[in-house]
Amino acid sequence: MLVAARANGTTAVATLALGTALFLFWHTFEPAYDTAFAAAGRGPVFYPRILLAIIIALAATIVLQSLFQAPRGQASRQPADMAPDNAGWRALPALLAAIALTAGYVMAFSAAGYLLSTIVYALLLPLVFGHRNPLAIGTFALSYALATWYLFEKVFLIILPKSPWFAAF
Amino acid sequence: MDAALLGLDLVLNWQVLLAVTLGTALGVAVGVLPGLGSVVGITMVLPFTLTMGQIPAIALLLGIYCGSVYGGSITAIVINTPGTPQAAATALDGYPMAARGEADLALGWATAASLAGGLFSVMVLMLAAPQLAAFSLNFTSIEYFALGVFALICIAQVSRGSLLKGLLSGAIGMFIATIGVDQVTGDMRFTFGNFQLSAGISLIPAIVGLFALSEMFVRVSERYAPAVRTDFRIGFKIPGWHAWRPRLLLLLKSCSIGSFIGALPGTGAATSAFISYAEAKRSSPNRERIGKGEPDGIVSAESANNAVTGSALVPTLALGIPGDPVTAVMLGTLVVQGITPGPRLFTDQLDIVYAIFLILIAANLVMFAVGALGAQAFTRILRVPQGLLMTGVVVIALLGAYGVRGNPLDLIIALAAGVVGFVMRKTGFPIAPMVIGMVLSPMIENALRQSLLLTRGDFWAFFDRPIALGLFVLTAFVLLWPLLSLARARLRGTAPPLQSRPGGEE
Repeated sequence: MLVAARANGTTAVATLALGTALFLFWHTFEPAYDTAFAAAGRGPVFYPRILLAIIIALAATIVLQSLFQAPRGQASRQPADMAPDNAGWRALPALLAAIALTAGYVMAFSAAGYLLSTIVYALLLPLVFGHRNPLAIGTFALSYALATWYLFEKVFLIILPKSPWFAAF
Repeated sequence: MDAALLGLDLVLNWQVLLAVTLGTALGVAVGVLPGLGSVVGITMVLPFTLTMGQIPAIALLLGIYCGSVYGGSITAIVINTPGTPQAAATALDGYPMAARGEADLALGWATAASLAGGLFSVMVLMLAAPQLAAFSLNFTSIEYFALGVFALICIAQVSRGSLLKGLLSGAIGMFIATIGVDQVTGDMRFTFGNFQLSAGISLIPAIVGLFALSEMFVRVSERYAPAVRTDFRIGFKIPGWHAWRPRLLLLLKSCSIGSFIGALPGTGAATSAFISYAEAKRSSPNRERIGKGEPDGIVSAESANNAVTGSALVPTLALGIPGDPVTAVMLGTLVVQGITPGPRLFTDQLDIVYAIFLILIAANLVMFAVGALGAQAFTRILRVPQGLLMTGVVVIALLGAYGVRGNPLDLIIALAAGVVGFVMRKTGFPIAPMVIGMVLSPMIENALRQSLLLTRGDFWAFFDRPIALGLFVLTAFVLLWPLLSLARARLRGTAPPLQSRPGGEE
């Protein structure tokens, strides 16, 4: 199962790379790039075109290779291989929550300021890991966010984003 | 001599000594924790380096580098879980020794061998880097183009996963580096009207995402995996001279293997440790006992992996070409600090070069002291709940991503790179070639375009220059090596399966 999943994942990643590279290769022929003829005809998209051609060739080869190897991978399906896969599926909601939480943190970093966003993030992310000690999480979130904020803002004098509600942080 | 004294003067102040001590201690701590390696350790301290002076910042980074390579051996010995891939070979003999009650002695062997390997590699760096820098003054853009392509192909070849996946990862990294303003014509490339993208995709946020964030996502996705055992007590005991004397030749050989392999692009400490271990298993008088708790196994692996630390800096400092993601991050940080590695560093800023040599020596000595005094204390870090630990790592790494340019877009880049890194790790695409591709791409592009101007567009003229021709031949050999191996194996009737190497994180 793990081999098959990896083969499917490989196919998906290579297909995505192939599609994106094909689109970008087509994009390099847009009129916007025709304005520059510097460097003896080797303008801004000369080098990227070479890279995109290489990506297309490599991605297409990997897709074909993984498609032809997929039946062999599925043939090796064993009951013992199911355990890590099941564990992986069980953790999928937590994984999606971690990605969503980090995306929210990244957005809130500028909008709500470093200190407030970090306190909230440090309160919630340990829960995603299955940590269930509210006192430890609360102490950690407050002390870690405050300590890093003080260190960077006051000691290293690196200006961190501030919230729109408080002048100091 | 004046430059050496100036270098000593740069190092002998409390900020540098504090930075190298704290850096090494933090490096050991990061190395102890399975999953967090040298790259994550370095990205964690990036925000601190932004306001530090040049030399203290370098001291902090080099301390973490040396400390983290060594730190992995502690958990490898004590709980049979290498903290870093570099220490995987150490576990083969370290853990059996610990299992029969000799953990203190195994740690003593590992720490002393690491010190010997580290100091040996500094000597290699001191001797080889100036020579290579002087030699590279003869290089034109054609040689740099050939060298860049060779380095990238090597890294793609030796990365975990298949060669095709490594090459694709490297090519994607190279392409990502082309986003933004074209340095030659000033045109925007692939920004799709987004002004913020005109400055390009910054390396540090990409590395923070690819390594630190992806590690957090991987850990969340494996939260139902069995927990690592953390209840143990260990000591520290240095083996006597009588035990060392029969192993001096092995130590010298392992240091040489580690230093040689470390200077090659892409190979790194894990490869050198396993090659050195294999050599010890082949040639050691105690080879029958290797793998069952024999100190020869620990000495060969640990001296070789630490011998990489100095020699990996040879191409980084002399040519400005990093050999692995760790030296790539260091290269990026040096540039942020106003230091441009390359041949001119050895003519214009020789005092800084000497300061780097001295800092590496100091870092290795501190590493020994930290290992001897605090091995037990460092294993306590394993007791910190994973959720709290990873939150701390991610927050500080994202601060590093933000702090370089103060641009919120860099946080989005880090997040996107984190998701990409997670998917790549889960599907067996290596991350290292992508990072090295991002670092080398601007150099390769400039060299290619300059070379084509020099040769008036004649690509075949690249092969007229002997050094470049030699590098192209080497590149072709490295690329064709898997096919040659397969053909040879088929002739012998022992052909391996097509996807024989497992994928995974670096």
